[in-house]
Amino acid sequence: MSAVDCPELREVSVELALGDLSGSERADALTHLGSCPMCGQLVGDLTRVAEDLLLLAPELEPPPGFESRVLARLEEERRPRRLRWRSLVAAAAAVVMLGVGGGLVVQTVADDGGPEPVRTALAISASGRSTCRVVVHGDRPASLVVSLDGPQGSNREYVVEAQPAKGAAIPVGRFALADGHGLLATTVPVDAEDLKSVRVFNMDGELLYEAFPEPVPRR
Amino acid sequence: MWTASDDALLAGFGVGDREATASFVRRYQSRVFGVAHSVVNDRALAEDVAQEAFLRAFRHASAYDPRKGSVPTWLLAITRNAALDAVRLRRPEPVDPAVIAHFDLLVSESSGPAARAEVSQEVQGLREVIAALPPEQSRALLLAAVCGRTAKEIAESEGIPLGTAKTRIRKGLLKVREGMGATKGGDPR
Repeated sequence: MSAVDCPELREVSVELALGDLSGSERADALTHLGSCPMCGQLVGDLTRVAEDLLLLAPELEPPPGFESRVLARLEEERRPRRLRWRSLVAAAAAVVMLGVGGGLVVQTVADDGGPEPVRTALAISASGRSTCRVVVHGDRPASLVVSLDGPQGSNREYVVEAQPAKGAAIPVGRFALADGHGLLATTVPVDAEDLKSVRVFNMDGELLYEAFPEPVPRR
Repeated sequence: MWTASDDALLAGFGVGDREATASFVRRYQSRVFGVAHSVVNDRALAEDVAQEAFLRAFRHASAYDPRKGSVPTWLLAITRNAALDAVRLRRPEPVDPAVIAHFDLLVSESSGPAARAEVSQEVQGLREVIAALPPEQSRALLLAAVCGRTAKEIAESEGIPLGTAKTRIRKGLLKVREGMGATKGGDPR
């Protein structure tokens, strides 16, 4: 098969969606798809249906220790980023420390990002022992992740709200620390770029952190 | 305490948040391992594949497009591809077609753990459509779509001509597409 037309493409559409074409057949089919949106739609639909069928595969408990092994590999994968993150945090903390509210120190830093453009901020407590990280990205609704590393052993609860550039603050949710670490991941009904700040309160309503996400510079 | 949506959890995982990463792995590991094992039929190799799948998901998290499918479907497609890559490299034992007997095909079964809630409606629809197919079609389709078997391999394991295997797979997938279009109220064409 070389120059594939629409009837020929339809003949092999299922095999293409399931990855069961030889290299040359696949190349010919993909060439046709590049210039035929209707066939592209057909193959896209079939591919999605085939992928949906994966949900029917039986769940199977992985071998003991799988979770820690995969987390170790992921840690290895992202280590270079975290090293850069730490150096940025250290540099930012050394150069500019902004006092906000009752002894809070809040500073926005640029993370090196991760795989897509995101807006990030880091808020550091006055003592320097607790940090609150905010990552937000995407259009309305934006994905928002707030993580807090507090005192070791702490199980305190916190309330989070998002402040858009315009309009009233939006309640986001609450989370609790588990042995000093806690995380809230959710969405907020604004574009990431329209989110001015994220505030974290204790259960008495006292503002503990306010972080102002800024775009990660493109490299 | 995790109640985050799949999308939000993936966002945290994709930017390397430690807590989100642990929760992401915990939420999906049995599904990922299940798909990996369905393809490679070897527990040790399935673990390698499952680890690779999570690494690929981390590297490509920004490419996830919710308009094209749910997070579990996206992750399981990555897993299937990783498993097929491993199969090509290491040629494990062919999947025993009896594996289909363990598939989640009971229409009346409840949705199970909370992690499955988001996909349970879709899964239920799939089960109904699959249950309506002739058994030989659903079997050939699942062996191809989930276990990654080629039409030629299915023809050999089922003892049928290659053309028959291809027809069963083709008709099965087209019927599921049509059925799921009807389930979702959309136009299958």
